[in-house]
Amino acid sequence: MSVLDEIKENLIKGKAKEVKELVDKAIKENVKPVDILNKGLLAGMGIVGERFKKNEVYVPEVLIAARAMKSGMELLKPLLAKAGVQPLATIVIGTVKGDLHDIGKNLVGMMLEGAGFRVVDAGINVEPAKMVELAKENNAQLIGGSALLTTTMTNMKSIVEEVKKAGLAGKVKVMIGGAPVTQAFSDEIGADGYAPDAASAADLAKKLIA
Amino acid sequence: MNIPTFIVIGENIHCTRILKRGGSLVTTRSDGAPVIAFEYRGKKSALPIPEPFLSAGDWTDGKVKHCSVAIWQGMRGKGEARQAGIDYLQTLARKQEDAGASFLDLNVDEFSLDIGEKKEAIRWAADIVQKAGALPLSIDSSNEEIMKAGLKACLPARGRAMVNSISLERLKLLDLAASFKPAVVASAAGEKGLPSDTEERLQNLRQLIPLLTAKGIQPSWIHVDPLVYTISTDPNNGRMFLEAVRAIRKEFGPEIHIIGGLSNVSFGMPCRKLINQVFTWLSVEAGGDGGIVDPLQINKGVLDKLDTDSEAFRLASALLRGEDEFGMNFIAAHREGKIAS
Repeated sequence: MSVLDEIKENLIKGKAKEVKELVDKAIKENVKPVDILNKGLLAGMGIVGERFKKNEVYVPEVLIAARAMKSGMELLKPLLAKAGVQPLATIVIGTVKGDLHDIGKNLVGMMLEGAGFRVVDAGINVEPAKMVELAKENNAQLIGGSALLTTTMTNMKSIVEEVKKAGLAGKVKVMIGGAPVTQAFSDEIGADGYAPDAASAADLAKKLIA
Repeated sequence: MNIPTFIVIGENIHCTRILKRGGSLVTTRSDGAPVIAFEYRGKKSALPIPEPFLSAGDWTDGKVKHCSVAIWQGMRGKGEARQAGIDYLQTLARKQEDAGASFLDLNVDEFSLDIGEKKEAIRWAADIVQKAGALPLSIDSSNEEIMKAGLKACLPARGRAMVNSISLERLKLLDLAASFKPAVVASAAGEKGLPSDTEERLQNLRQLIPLLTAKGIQPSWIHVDPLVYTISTDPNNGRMFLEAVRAIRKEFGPEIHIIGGLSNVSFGMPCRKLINQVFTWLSVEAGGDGGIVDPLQINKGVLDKLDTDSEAFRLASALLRGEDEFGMNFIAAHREGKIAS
């Protein structure tokens, strides 16, 4: 097995220590950082995402895979920066104002990082204007809003409106998700997209920046 | 363990509850119309899924909110469809009562986006559910108006109705408590958010409980919810809850009740029923005496009979006490077929 395959396999199993050692080994063998990233770490997270979508793995397994990816990224980040490798794009994610649920939002964050995005996590109970402000500060191309309640999902509309107010319509795209959210609701409030689960959210984000 | 009592607040009539399309219960009638299959008094019945639900995003995503469908049909349907909505809800109510529920929780917050429709729905559902049996209701809402409409619809002869829930962030409900004198779920949530440890839970409850008793709510009507977080995102969440139960019992004495939305703990894990049952057992051992749960899966009989010497119990208990990091042993045992779901 090549070192990249080994990285991928160990990441899928959530073995943080092994992933870190293997990334170190790959660097010493002069494997290109961008290959370690794409063919090792992201390839592994992609498989975890697919399995999660099909209910073949459970939430803790996604968590430890994401942790393993982080441990590899620690070594890789400076090299990627030096080689001028950029993340796909930056996305600001957050649970909307009035809503304290963060499991779904955190899973989406892990999947996005696993797909090669830089993720700025605004946390829970986030004011719509704050999301847009963070998007500006971080030069983000995407905003992801999460809500678990019908009473709070209306605040997603405010995010869309704030983006327009800031003159960022078309430049910053808004994607939404959460238990009560549907494609119809997304269309109604003029969001750019809706994803039914965390792995699909990463696919959607890629589509929106393409 | 033979436990003296266990208060079950039956959680099954809740408008967010979904059934999956492609499962055995969501099927089609002989004329091709989509229905939800159920058994009414031993007879096969079908609840038609009305048009607004079929053109909704949920349906396209492969799911349907079954309690919402039943309430919709019961309130707005015609003829047999209307009767099926009523039968469906009353069946959910009877099953929970037969399984030993003490209260039936009703939540219609997600029935509609319109507050008027939600109030109409809670009044209607309260009436229909009370006609099905003898239990008092627990009105579960984050909205004051819905809470009031629900409490008004509760028959006084049933005994004290329950308010689910009051917390420091929802103090508006205190006045309702003062006038209706209900049983109360007292949530340990803080003014600004959810508590992260036992001390924060205690601090919030030290503020909240005197506010309740000042409104004439007796300690024995108070059901403290220490708040259950899911174990799949943090392996310490089970242990932390059990520790909070112990501390709350110690500080607030034997009269109050300690409950919780115990099935939250297993979100994102396999074998949820087993995890929930073992977690309930552990919470009773820690001093809890109830839960907002599915009475068909968790009740006094189930807890009394739980085989605490089994491998399954040992694995779930280690998971819930934070002794199985990220649940890897538990998940592996599940994959190897060592524990049934």
